[in-house]
Amino acid sequence: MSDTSINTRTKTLARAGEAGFGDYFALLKPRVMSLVVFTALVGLLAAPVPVHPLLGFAAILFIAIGGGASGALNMWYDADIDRIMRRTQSRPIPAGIISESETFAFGMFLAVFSVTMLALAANLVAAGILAFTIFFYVVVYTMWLKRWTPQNIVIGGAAGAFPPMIGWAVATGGISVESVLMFTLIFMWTPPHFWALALFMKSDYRDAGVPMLNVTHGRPATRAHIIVYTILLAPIAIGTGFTSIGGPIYLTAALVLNAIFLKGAFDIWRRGDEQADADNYKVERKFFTFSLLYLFAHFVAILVEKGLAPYGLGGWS
Amino acid sequence: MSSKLRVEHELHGRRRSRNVGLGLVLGAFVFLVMGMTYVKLTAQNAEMAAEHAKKQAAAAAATGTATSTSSQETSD
Repeated sequence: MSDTSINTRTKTLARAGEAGFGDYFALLKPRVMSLVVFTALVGLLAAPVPVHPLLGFAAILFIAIGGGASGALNMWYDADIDRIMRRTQSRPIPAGIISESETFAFGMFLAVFSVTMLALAANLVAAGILAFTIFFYVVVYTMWLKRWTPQNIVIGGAAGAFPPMIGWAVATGGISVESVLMFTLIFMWTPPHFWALALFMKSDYRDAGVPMLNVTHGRPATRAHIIVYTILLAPIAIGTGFTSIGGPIYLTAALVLNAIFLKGAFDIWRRGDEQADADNYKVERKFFTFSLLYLFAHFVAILVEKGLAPYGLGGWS
Repeated sequence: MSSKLRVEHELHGRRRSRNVGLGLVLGAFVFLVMGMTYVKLTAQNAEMAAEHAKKQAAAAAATGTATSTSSQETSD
């Protein structure tokens, strides 16, 4: 055994069971949580019913904790494949910082806590959707679809699409066309976003035995799927502009963003792996980065419309 | 002979960070629940006050109608 491996082993043993606060926070997948917080906040603010700022803050916090709980339970179940994939090897369980059983207990506690507190802070509809989201992400996506079908990301993407619906339900106590459209926007955006990532992450998913589309059907099929989903996404994103949460600013932004996104998807579809290897997947990486801006900008545009409405500048009225 | 045991280890720093973090989270949660309770009770009180005022107004209107009717009967 080399000195390096002894040192690493000693460090791992020293850290086991003595995780710091930040290690527990890392179990909540903070980056995913930030998307949850942002989209839920937009759903809440875009709704036609005002919410007291403190109750709104509490609701967003509990939605974020619920999202974090799903992340922790996902890390608990996926610990075996997280140890294989380079991207996930530094997570608290593969790194030997927090045990699997502790992660499970932590995730379950936060899941029950967040749903109960959201019911108290807001209403039962919002809490019910949050509970369903956690169930969907952990059981339907993580335990069932992820390792079984290449359509995992398509159906599993629903879990990440619920937060704006929860935010809307916090304010209105119900579900409406607008909240369903916000859900559909994220739902349809998820597959091209993750398939672009899968294209340039190359062997990670194959090594872990995760049946991503590029592993089961090959890269050309993945490229074709990206453009099909991007084409299907465009009318949903633009159509949202004609509802009560849209307006001229949103519509303009959606037209420009979707034109760029479609162009990116077309470029990905047109090229092959030799070309992609030659420039280190430049187009795919660019498309992936732009996809983050794409979603963010759509939701910012919804907020802008809402923010300008009192001055007669936002919305269609 | 007494000797003080001084332990300085990275492990204690991490344990401290966890304890302080948990303490702050629990403290913040207590304040949040207090705030939520205050906001909910205030809103409920305002609702009840509005309902009470409405009922009183209705009762006063009913009494006023009855009074005017009886005074009308007397004058007849």
